[in-house]
Amino acid sequence: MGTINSAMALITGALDADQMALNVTSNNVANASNQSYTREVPNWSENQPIYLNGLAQGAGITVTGGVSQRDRVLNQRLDQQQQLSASSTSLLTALTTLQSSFTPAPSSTSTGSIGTDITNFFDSYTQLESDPASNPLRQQVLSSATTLAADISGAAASLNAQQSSIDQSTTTVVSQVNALTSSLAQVTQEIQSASPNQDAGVLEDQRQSDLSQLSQLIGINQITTEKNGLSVTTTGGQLLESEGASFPITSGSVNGVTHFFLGTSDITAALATGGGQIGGLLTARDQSIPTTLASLDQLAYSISTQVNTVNNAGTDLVGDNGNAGNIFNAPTQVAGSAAAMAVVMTDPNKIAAAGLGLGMGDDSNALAAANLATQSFVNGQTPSNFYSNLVSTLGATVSETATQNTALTASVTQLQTQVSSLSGVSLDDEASNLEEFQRSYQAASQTFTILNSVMASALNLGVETAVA
Amino acid sequence: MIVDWQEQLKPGVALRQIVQQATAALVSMDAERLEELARCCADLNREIELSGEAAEAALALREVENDVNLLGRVLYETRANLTVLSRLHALRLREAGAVRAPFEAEASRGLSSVERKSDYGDN
Repeated sequence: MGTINSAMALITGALDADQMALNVTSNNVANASNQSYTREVPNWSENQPIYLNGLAQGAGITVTGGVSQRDRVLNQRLDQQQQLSASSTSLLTALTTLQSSFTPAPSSTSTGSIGTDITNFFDSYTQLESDPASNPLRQQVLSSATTLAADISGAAASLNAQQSSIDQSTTTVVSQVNALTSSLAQVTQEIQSASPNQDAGVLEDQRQSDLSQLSQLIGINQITTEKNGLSVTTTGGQLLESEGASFPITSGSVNGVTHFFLGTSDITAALATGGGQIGGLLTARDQSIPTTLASLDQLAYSISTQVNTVNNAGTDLVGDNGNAGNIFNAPTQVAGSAAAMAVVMTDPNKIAAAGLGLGMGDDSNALAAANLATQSFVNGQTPSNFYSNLVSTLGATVSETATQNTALTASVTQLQTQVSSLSGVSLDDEASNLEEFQRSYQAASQTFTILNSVMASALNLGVETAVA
Repeated sequence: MIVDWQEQLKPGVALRQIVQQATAALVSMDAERLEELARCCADLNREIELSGEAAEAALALREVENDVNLLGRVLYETRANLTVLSRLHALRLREAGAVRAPFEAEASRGLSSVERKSDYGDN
């Protein structure tokens, strides 16, 4: 989870690194002519290599048409940030929906959250202790068990439905990707045919538009080649388009889940980490939802198994010793336990409130069941704490993703402003624009540094400010 | 700049205002606004020190943790954008220097390229 300390650490490092970045303008005229500078070029867009007319490495940059070259690199940076932003947006949407599965609507017939259900269920055993033979209190145990099982299985069903819906969405996105790479191949062919050595004008605009749209959908690398050519790969390096030919992504079902292929290579995992809308969708489908579902399965499995075990260790109201039967449907494995969770006991007299071999007035087994509420039998935690941690972890992930999403959206806004304001301006205007940008950054850095100072003062006073 | 916190000296309110406004100004690259906010932050820090309310400020920092975290993230992304733009500007400066260089060399000899062409082509 992000903390104010980690935010400070992140920016402290960034501020140090930035001293070099800010000096680039004054120093780089000399540096630009040596190989060292040339090798820095791929770092412009942080993760993504940039090839300038096929000469990314070697004895200097070959530049043809400075303004268009600059715009192209700037657009690549914008495309890259859009990929990250789109991925973050689709993941945030999915996580918000996922989170809502644990927050029943006010109109729901459910008693509330699963956390409340857990408390109510074990409390019903506590009440049964006061009058172990009471039929209404026995009915209450079964009723609260039914509510708990219904809410857990309902949440699992909701998660499975969301996973299925996202699975369908990924297929739609990949269809759009294939259409765009086909268009890119065609327009690149036209550019290479009509304008191999100069700015392709409208055709270049069209190609840039395709690239921008593609960046919303999938993480890509752009490789500028000779004669105004362009190759596009996934961030994993698989070719999507090259020299006027496109390579469509195909799909197939693997264990009931849609996987994606380029040729015979399964690129699903690479797409998930690569960015774009598909990256966020696949991250939600293959990581966020399965992780949450696994926790829910563990909760359901542990409660069902433990409660059944306790019920079969006592004596019920009709005199069965040690085989009163299961209250919950007995799970055979953890996976799928949440979706299958249900109450199978219909006769309240089968609740074993008495200890083994003891009479109907005994409450020792009801006490044992009630005590499960405070026992750490769900992955080393009590049921309530386990569920509470599940929900709070999900909430922290949503919060972290929302912060990341806002920051990336801000970055895209900045870059769009720059692309717009730098188009066709003079060197002087460009310098002025850059100076304004630097002033903004430095002033914001000052603000952050002062906050850091306040933080340090607080720490010196022994006041803990980090929130775990 | 006069803002509520200067009158009320409530660090939590002031910090949240400063951090949120700084983030918004950074997105729109409003240098003047950001410099103003940096001065506000410095003033606030001084007030905190003078008033001996560092502990209260620390609690206020807790309250605005998410806002500070967001400012940090936007600052981080801004730095990367600034690096790209700085290097692109440097590249363009280099190009301009490369284009100017032949003319400057010839000018130092007292001839422009046009004049030299005339020397050889004009009858």
